[in-house]
Amino acid sequence: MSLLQRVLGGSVTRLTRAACWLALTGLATMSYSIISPRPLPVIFAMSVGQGVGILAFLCYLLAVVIDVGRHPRGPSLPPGPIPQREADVAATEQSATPH
Amino acid sequence: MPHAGPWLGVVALGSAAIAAAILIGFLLKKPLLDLRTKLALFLGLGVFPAIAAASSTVAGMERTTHREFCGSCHVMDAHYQDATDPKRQSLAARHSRNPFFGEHSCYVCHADYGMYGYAMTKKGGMGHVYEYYLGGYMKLSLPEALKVIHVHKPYDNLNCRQCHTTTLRGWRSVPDHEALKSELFSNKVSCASAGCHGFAHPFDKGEKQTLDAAKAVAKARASAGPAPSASASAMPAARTP
Repeated sequence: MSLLQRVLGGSVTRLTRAACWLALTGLATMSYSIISPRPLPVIFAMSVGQGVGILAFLCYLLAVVIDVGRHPRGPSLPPGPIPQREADVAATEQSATPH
Repeated sequence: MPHAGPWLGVVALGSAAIAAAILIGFLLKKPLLDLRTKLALFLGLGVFPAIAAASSTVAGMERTTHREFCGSCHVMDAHYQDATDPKRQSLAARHSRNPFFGEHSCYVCHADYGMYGYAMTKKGGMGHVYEYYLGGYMKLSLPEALKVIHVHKPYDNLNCRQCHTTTLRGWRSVPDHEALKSELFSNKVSCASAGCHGFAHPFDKGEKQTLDAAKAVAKARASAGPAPSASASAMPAARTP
């Protein structure tokens, strides 16, 4: 089973939690580069930190896509009244139908 | 790069804190992944981290122009001490006391100018970091580093001329300037050489280098023809500490 299949078949919640942990790691590196602006932390934040942050966001997007794919949403609004013109056409058709 | 100021760091830390609060809240409370939770996570994983990344990048890049940043590697200790000591009289020290250079004196003097100057300067800085951590400079003692590490390419007089314009009367009234104009513009003679204004960082120049620089200036003067009577004495030479 490939990694992609494992990810797609896995839990959406687990993927989202992984995204959260990745994002927290990226945020920590970025924050550390602000608190301690030395060459390595700054370079690390701008490369690894931002890469991890992007990966986290992609994980989140994937989780949302999988979630939407598994639970396709129905009509968001309850069925409303039939428009008057359609009702008139249906009544005409019904009256024209021979019994 | 304009000086961004400390507020960008505050923005970065604030955005990171808000994002972290949202994410930790999700991890601890474990709510259902409904629309509201997804929107909150979008803020915590997308919007606020993006703000934190952008502001921390700008703040970080701005920080790389600070003298403390350049002096954070031990091989630059002597340069840093020289630039920050108020009693020193080297070119670097005197320029560092100028408010225009201030805390950014290393960057202002060593940055490449031109359209891609900032990017090229940062590329050069990455090379310094590589040399320090992977090229063996980190293991050098300071005396060894002063012997081994030299400026990557000859210092461009254009950097001096960014401020010291060569068109005003004050500059042109110095006989050596006029006599060596073409050599100065073509970088055959450096403004910061032993025979002229002195080395910017004189402590890292050996006797041979000083002698070579003086010979180069003398040769250029000779080839430029006889200088007018008021020669180099018109210029204040840098005093070696």
